Formats: sequence, C-alpha cells, structure tokens
Amino acid sequence: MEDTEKTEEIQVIAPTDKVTDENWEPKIIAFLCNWCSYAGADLAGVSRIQYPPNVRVVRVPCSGRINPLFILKSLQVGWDSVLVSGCHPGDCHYISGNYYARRKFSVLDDLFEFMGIDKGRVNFSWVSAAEGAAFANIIEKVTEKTRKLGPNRLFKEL
Amino acid sequence: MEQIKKSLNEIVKSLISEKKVEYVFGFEEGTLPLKSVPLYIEKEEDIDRMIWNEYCNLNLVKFLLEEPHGKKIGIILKNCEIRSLIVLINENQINREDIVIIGVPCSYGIIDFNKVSKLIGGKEFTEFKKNGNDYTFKGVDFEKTIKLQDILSNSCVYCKDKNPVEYDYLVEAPIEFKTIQEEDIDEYLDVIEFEKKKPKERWEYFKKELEKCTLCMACRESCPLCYCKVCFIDSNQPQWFDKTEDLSEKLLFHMTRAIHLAGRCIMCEACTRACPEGINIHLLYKKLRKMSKDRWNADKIELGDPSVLGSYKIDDPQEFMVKED
Amino acid sequence: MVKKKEKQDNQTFEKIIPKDKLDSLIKGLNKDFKLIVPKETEDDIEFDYLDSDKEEYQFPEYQNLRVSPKKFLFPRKEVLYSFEKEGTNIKIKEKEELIEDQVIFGIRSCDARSYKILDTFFSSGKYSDPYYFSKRNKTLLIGLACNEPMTACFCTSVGGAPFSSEGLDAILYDLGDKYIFKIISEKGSAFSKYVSEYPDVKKADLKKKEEWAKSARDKIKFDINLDNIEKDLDGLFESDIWSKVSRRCISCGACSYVCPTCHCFDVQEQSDKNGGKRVRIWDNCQASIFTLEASGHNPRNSGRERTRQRIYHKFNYYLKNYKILGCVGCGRCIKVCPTNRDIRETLKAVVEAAEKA
Repeated sequence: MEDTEKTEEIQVIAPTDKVTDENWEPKIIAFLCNWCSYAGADLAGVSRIQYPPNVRVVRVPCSGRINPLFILKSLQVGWDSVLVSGCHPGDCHYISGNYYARRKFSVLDDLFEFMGIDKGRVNFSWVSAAEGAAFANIIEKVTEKTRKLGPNRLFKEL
Repeated sequence: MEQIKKSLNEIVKSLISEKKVEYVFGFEEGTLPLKSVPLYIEKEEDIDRMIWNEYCNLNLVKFLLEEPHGKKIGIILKNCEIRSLIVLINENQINREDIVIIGVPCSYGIIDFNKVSKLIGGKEFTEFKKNGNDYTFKGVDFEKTIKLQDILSNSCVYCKDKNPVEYDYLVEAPIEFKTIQEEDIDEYLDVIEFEKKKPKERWEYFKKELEKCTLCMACRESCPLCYCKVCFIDSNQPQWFDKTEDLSEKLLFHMTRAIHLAGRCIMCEACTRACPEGINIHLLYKKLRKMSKDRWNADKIELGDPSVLGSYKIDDPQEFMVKED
Repeated sequence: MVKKKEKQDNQTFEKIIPKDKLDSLIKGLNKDFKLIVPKETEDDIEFDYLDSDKEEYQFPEYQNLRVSPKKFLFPRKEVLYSFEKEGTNIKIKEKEELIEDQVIFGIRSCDARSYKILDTFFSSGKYSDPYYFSKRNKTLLIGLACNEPMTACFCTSVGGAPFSSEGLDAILYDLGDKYIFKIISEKGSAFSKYVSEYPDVKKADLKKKEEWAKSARDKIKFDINLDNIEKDLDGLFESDIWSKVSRRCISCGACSYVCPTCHCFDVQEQSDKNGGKRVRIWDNCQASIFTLEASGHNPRNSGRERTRQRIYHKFNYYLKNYKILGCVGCGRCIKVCPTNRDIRETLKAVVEAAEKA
C-alpha cells in the first residue's frame, strides 16, 4: 500500500508542463502484474535498492489482463516507453495468464518490427516477487534505452 | 466455368425444391461491369440470376452473422471463405448444423476492382472482355489489356489452398491453374519482400497508405471475423479514441484491428477489395498470419482448433523478453 | 461595338478558346487566384491545389473524378479552435480564415449543383455556418460541361443535366476541337479579362454545343420520374422494401464519404494537460453509433432504418425543409459500394411500391 502513495507522490513532482529537449527526462509507464512484478517492485523499494525515478507503475491483476491497445495508446499519448512485466512462465497466480500474455506480446512485437516502428519503446519482462534487484536492473536498462532513443514522437507531429 | 455453373444450379435447385434450407446465398450480376451483388435464392426462379465468377468479391459469411441460430441456410463458398466460417464455428458464433456449405474449388481467384482502377488511371471502363488470362477493359477513350495476375487480389496470386476443406456439397470442377504464378513460390512472398525494406521505408509506407483512410469502416464491415457488438473504436466507455481522425488514430485503429485478427484472418481479402481508397491493409493481417506460422505453426485453421491467441504452448518462443544482466 | 457591349451587360459573354490555349488560360488565372484543378496522380485523377510557377501542368482528360471537390469547402477534418495552457492562463486560438480568392476549375455540373445544396444546408435556420461560408464566399466555380457521362450517372433524373450551368460562375463547353467559355454569374464576370483576347462565339458553334448537349443527355441511360418522390416516400416509411434494400448493405460509410452532398458532421475534442483542440469531422448515418443515445437506446439500430434514413434524408426531408432534392445524381455511391447497392434501383423500387400502394 505504501507504494501506491509513492506513485502519487511521483506524479506530483512530474516534469514541468512544457517539455523541451533540454529538460526532457524519459517517462516510462510500467504495467506490472499484482502477484509477481508489482511485489518485485515493492521488494526493490523495501530493500532500498536505487533505480531511476522515471517509471510510473500501473498495477494489473495479471499480465494476461494487458490489452495490446493499452500499450499502443500509451505510446500515442506520449509515454516514451512502455514496460510490461508478469510472473515467470509457470509461476502465474492464475496458472496460465502469462502464457496467453506472451502470445499477445509476440504479436505486438512482430507487428512493430513489420511496420518499421522502433521496438525499443516496448519492453516485456518476467520479474518474480523475489527479484527486487532484477526489477531495479530492468528499470535501469529500459531507462537507459529510452534515453538513447530520445523523446517519443512516434504518433506525435503526424 | 460452365461446368461449375451447371453443377451449382443442380445443387441449389435440389436444396430449394426439397426445402432443405430457407434460402441459399449466392451472387447476382451487379449494375456496373465487374461488380456483383449478394443474392438470396429463396425461390427456384431466382436461380437463373445466380452467377459464379472471378468478381464475386464479398465474403458472404459476414451475412450469416445477422441470421438467428436454428435457421437453415445454404451458402456457396470458396475455400478461403469456408475457413472463415470454420473460425466462426470454432468461436461459437455459428452452429455448423445450421449451415449447408456448397464448396466450390477456386479456380480463378478474385479480381480486385481497386487494382483495375489503378491500372487504368482512375478512369471508368464500360465493358470488359476476357480472353484466357487477358482482360481487356474498354472505356470512352481507351482500351487496355491487363494480365489476370496483375488484377487478382494479392492473396489469390499466392494462394495454394484452393480446394474446399469442409463442405456438405462439393461442386466438381477442374482447377484451371494451381497458382497463377508460373513457378512455385512462397505463399507469403509479398510479406517477405516487404520485410526486406528498411524500417523507415516500411513506416513511411504505412503512414502514406493509412493517411488515405477515411475510417469509413468498410474493411471492418466486410470482414466476417469482425463481429464484436461494440468495436473498440466506437466504444464510449472507455473511449479509446478522441475520434479526431488524426493519422495516429488511423494507425492505431488498423494496428489494433490487425492484432484482433492475428492468427484468425484467413486471407479472403474482402477488406482490401471493399476499401474505397484501395489501401492494401491486408498486408498487416497476412504478416500476422505468417507470424503465427513461424512462431506457433498455426496458420491453417481446422474445425475444432483452438484460436491462436486463446491457446498456448509452454515452450512458445520468447526471444523478445528483456533480460536482466 | 455598341451592340457588343449590350451583349456583355446581358451576361452572354461567350468566347471561343482553342484547345491548346487552355493551359495558358489556367496559368493566367493562377496568377490572381488560388486554383483547384484536376491533377493526374500516379494512378488516379484528383482535385488538388495548383501552383503553376512551380509545376508543369496539363489539363487531363476525365469524365468525372472519383472524389468530389466537397472537401475544399467542407474539409474532412477541420480544427474549429485550439487552446493551450500558458502558466495559469489558457490561450484560445481561433481558426485562421482563408483570405485568398480561390477557383475550382473543371468542376462538373453535378458537383457544382452539390455546392448549391450545401449552401442551402449551411445557411438554413437562424445562423449560417461561418467555417463553410468563409471559404465558400471566396470560391468561384468554373465548370466543364460533361460530354461523356459515366455508367452510374443519373443527373437528369434529379433535375440536373450534363450541360447544366446551375451554380457555376463560368462554364466551359468542350466542342471537340475547341472550348466555348461562357460567363454565367455576376461574380463570374471577373474572368472576362482573362479571355477577352479570344474571338467571340459564332452561331454555328452554339448549334454545335446544342448537339453535344443532346448527345451527352442521350448517353445517360437511366431515367426515372421523381416528381412525386416526396409524397411517394411519405407513405412508405413502414414499407417492407427497406428490409429488402438493406439486406445487402453491410453498413459501412463508404457511400456517404464520397457523396458530394452528404454533410453530416460530428464535433469532437482532443485534449491533454497542455492544451487541446476542437475539431469538426465528417460523420456518416450508416454507422450504428451515429444515433446511439447516452442511455444505450439506438433509434436506428438496424440496417433497415439506416438505409431508409439515407434515402429519406435526400429525397424527402430535403424537399420538405428546403424545397430541393438532396441528390445530384453523380453516381459515386454506386461505384464505391462494396456490395454494389445501387441507389437507382432503390429509387425504382420506391416509385414502384408507391404506385402499387
């Protein structure tokens, strides 16, 4: 529960309204499954592992709940990157939700590749409740990747 | 062609006269050259109006979705359309027992009217003549002969799956050519060719093509697999789209529709033929079908198969996952 | 000389323009006007803006274009205003209005008549539509009479004609080897200076023109008497012809998007925390969400009601409200329909059903 308050806090201190190239900071939206990745993020916090503050978390019941449209819509409204994370295969709280999710993600992945959209902006990962350090590591990786890609102008200025 | 027509006539006649079905779905000649109209054959005299040829361009399975369960309906279908019916039966939208399938081996493929228009420079032709695989289009101030493979729908050019896989009645017909191409080529050649382009070129291509989209929904409405009661683009709660017709919305609509059709699209290409702007939107769906083949070996859908996104294997490939160091 | 001047006052300003001089006439017009002309693209002919200083242009041969020039006055998407947050204030940006005079060149009679219908609609009621009329008032139309009507044309049945000059400011008649340039409206007299160097029209030419007009009219095969269509439709609201007609309709909106007189629109907003915009986009009555109410009730729930609406709007409500028909008979909806649903067949069915009733 502590984490929910944390997210709200981050939103308050979000970058200023006018984003220019100078003050730009990557903004990453993360869809985390309740049972593994969200708990993993929690563990990272409790263990006081440092990771970049660029991520905003949306908790979902299961990675299988994530509609590919969530990801597309996030990119359309201007998030610089999307991270989707669920339980490791075989560990799903609902037995098979993450297997279905994996198929959906591969569709999205191939579609992006085919349409010539940079795949770096969409990231999928498996993080368990015990992997606080791994979560921090993935956030670091994704933030670095996004920083290199620059602001998301994919669907803007069309 | 004559043989197919004769055989069809007999089957339809027996179905109607013996009252085995309420009506049979077929096509009749349209009011313009190279156009056809869906025909409801309810009485024997309607049979004379029935046609079957290379410009019966709609997927009639779409119309079955409107009909109530329990109503016996006959329908004349090619194999790609039969496969779309199979998807709907698998997804519990249509009862197999309600439908009497009259399967026709597809010998011609279907002509894409948009391709014809493009090749004659947007002009209008008033008549056309067929001579083997050469089609001659005549207009007020021009006459042009075009090869059949240049005006066939893309999926028909590469189609190798022409014999009905599921039917109650099968029309006997010689297949005049297996594929329209002379040599044996990959079914997904157009996708493979497109993938060879640079990512930027591909992105620019889709942007340019989809800019033409008017969001008229002809693609959605002609697709038998689009049967949602409320489409995500029409949904108000939640409202996914601002509905301002920005290019980003058009891109998102078509991408999401492609995802919804992933592994389900059976490549009848009715969508591309229905598009008033002639957008080759089918390329996206074909790509995702190729993907289901490459990843999960699931590109041919049979009766009773689970849907591609509604099933899984424990060892599905997952090379795209971000891994920690 | 005096006689000639009188002629001009009576607005029968007619000149002969040789075929090879047409492009230079267009170039001359482009110096003073923003021009919208039919342009050959890779695989089509479309109306587009012309800048004759920058591009070589040749007037193409065409019957009528696939897409009507409706979008130049009533764009598919029009930003009405936008707003932006500046600190704690909100700045509203009004739409910038078009100042330049523009000419649509080579428009066919049917499309010119469609502007008359749009004018009536957008000026009906208490207020006239400023977004439409800001462009309409600056737009002049130079038509090109239609020598070769297309297979789906039926303008003669809805009160038009291939050689009609209704709604135009000036018209060109193609006589095969030359054009007659005729000024129709008062506004159109602005064009007289561009053609004054050319010879006056001769009686023989006018006779030739009449012949062309007759042959063009004869080429339209479809003919139906729609004099009583308003009354006919009044009695057919619950008729079962609508279920028959709609059976073949897949409820896409292709017909209304190509129609030169369809004008239904929707106003939508797009905003985020920094600002936003309000836009007007085309809407179409064939979509089920067109009439969907907030309660969830939909008065036009099935294809039957929606197909009926399209016919009633054009052939009944229009006559009731504005005393004109809402269709110009260009036939575009017939050509574009994925199921080849033919509005002419529907009209025939309506007239027949009314006779029976």
